[in-house]
Amino acid sequence: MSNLKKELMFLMPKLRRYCYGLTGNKDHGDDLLHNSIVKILEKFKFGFSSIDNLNAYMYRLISNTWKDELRKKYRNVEVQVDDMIYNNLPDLETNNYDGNIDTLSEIKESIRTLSLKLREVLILVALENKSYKETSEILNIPIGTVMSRLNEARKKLSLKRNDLKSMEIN
Amino acid sequence: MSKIDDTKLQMYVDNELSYDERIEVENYIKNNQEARLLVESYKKINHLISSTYNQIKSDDLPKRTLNLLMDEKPNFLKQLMRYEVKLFPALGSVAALAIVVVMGLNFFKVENQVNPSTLMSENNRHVVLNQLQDILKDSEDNLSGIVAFNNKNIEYEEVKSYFDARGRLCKDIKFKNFVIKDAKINEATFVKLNSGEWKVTKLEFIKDSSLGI
Repeated sequence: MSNLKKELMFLMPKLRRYCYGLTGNKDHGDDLLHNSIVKILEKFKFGFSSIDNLNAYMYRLISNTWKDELRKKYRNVEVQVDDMIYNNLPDLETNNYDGNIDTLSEIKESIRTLSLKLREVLILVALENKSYKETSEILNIPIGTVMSRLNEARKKLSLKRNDLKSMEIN
Repeated sequence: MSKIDDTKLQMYVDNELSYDERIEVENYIKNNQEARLLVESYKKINHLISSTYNQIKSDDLPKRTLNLLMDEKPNFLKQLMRYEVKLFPALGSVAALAIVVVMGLNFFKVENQVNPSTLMSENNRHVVLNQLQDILKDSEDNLSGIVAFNNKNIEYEEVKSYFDARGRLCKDIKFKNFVIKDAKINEATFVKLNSGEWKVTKLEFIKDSSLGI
């Protein structure tokens, strides 16, 4: 087994969780993981010495692969996907959600209503425990942008005041 | 005192502040209900996200992707049929291999010892032990649960936690249903390295030919 495959095997559970967080669906997440691994194996089929930070490289590859897949999906319905409209791009399975978060299924549902840009930052920081610096390197964006997107994502997911008060009493 | 705004509260929740700044924020939220509620809200969101998506850890890894990462084994018979392998050298190799196997079996019989690394392939070891290392990383207290492996559920339970002679945190984990080839793995010792990673240092097992899988 090559070094690259060994390292990918080691990272696989975490990468899978990231794919699940990004897509919000286990089957789509597994497809995304598979396609991303096919891509990197194809890229290094003639030999692999090392990548400085394979972990960060894989997170970035997964994000880009997911964006490509969304672009392809939306190309079929003749929607042009660029940075300007990307913030408002709905996901493949987005349902309307009124914002009252209290259970696990509700948080999943509400995360799916976030744009991909907000979601990938939130998942990297809140689920994968990446620092702002690591997140900025993975997504190739400034730290300030990481913080503002994170803030925006959390504001959109913020709990109703009554829920918080009852939580405080409990 | 620097201004404490939403951004700073968010950095507090994400462990991005220095010790002094953390103390400053903690004092601030003690006396400010709105800020405290915001911090609680951020923490609860983090907790819910983590609880939701960590569920996937207990599922089996997708087989087709695992297969992609396993090395393809060369098909010796196919090569032989295509005359890509010379017959006599091939027979010689088979005979030599048989001698090594017989000698090896005799050696194990006499010594009654098996090297743990021969009990499972490197891939399998990576998958199972890395999942356990991940679990140890996330929660270090009274571990117990189930790890999926080869379509079977392996139950694990912490037996004891202690520090070794070098002052490193160690944990002995007991397994149920953890069978690889003809060996039953009963216990493993994990040690926490300075880097924060967990490594397996010892495997205890029983070799029993009736267990063969």
